Amino acid sequence: MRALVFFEVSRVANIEGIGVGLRASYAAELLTTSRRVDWLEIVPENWMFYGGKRRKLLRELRERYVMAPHSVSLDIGGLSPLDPRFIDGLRALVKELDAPFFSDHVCWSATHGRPLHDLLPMPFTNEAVAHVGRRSREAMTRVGAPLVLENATFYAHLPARDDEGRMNEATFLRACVEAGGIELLLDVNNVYVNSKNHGFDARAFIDSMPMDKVRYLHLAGHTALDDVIIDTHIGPIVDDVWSLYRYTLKRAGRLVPTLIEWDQEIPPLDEVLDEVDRARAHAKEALS
Amino acid sequence: MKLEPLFETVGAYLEGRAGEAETQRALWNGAPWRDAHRLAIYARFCAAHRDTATGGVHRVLREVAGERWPALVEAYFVAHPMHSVELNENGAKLGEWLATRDDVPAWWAALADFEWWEWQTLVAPDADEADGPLRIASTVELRPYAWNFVRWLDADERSAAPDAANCLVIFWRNRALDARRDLVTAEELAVLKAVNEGAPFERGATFEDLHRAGILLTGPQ
Repeated sequence: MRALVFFEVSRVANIEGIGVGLRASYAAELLTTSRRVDWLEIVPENWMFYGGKRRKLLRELRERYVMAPHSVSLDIGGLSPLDPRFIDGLRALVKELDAPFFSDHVCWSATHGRPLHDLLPMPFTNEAVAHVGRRSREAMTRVGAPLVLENATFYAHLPARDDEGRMNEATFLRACVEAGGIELLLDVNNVYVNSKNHGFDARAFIDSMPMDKVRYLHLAGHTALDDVIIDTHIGPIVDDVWSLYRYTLKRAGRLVPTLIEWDQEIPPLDEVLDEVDRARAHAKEALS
Repeated sequence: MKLEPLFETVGAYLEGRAGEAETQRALWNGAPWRDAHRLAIYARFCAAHRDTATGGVHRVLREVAGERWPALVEAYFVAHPMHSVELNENGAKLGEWLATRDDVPAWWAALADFEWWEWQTLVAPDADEADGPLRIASTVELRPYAWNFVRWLDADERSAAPDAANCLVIFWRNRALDARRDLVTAEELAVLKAVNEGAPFERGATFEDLHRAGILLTGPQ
């Protein structure tokens, strides 16, 4: 029987509505903007180890916004032991932010304990599902909060044979959610990018997701090259992704908390917040 | 393919320890999946992360090294593979590593050290610096250099190389939490030494300057 993971229930912060990823270039402006931002998502690796101005800014932002940590280095699919310094830092950050959960990606990101600093694809096999499930439960126990994992973009399938239980990405994600007792961060842009790069139906993929397990959604821009779309988080969100977002919300039947990411060639804050407003309008249309 | 050999094979490729052709052979054994060639995208991403890990902090050195920079970065990470989830920390040994090479100017290693301490000063952990006795701020670092980087970096038009000159540089975070560095005068050094040793000294203009700058702390801030 799988061990159950229990958490303190004292946390009151919860994410709702439309938020934005916290980026250093506009972080200070978020303290004074009069525009509506419902919550912030922070990349812990870019904040948790620093003192000085950045730490002070984080404390000030926390007074105004609900925040949730979204890391890129948990290495939940990797084979090295979970990094104790990182796990301890996450635990402290979750407590400091009063965060309702911590999130990362269904991927591996280190070899022999050496970070590669990228989100690397898992092979879609039974072994990988069991491994992600075990590591997820361990991470939740050690951090002391629920874990939410994101469907990552992937550009190449890693080798997987039929006798290893080869499956498609959607089946793999559902199995990981079940095996780990985790929730899902459904990145709508990633679904779109993967559907184009690998030739599957994005809406059918959304249909197959366990909507009751989706804690929140990501939206972002991407970059189309000659033969592949790269998940760059550059630029405004394209119409096809807005359409898929509306479809996702209709399927969910609720305003799933949503987060706008813009990570490279970052424009002034107001331009990022225009995307937040657009998301709010699309959500209203989808659910009206 | 089992996770262990799979990640070992891909990991070696992404760290730059194995080539693309041998990796493709090991993974697909002559029958690659249709998107197998896209593994190269990850190799490019990982190389870019190595560049950022060093070039983010060592911006001037990166500019000075010019076309030699990419090869130096790759060679550095062969000697000192990534070890930290905080990207910049992975460049911590760059100065030390450059100092062992005889194919780069000696001052490049010193510049790497200088830029590293500018960064360390900016992000140093916060210490409890409220009430307390007279003391040197926790972010203060004194480092000797054989080149005058302070004058060179602050010049309106930077020359090709800094002047050779033995200097003692103080790095610190000021009261507004900005990273600062400057050359240390003999008078300033005498006050810092006295404070460090708990010896008596005259609280004159030099003391006042150091206190105002946030290098010396005393009483409530």
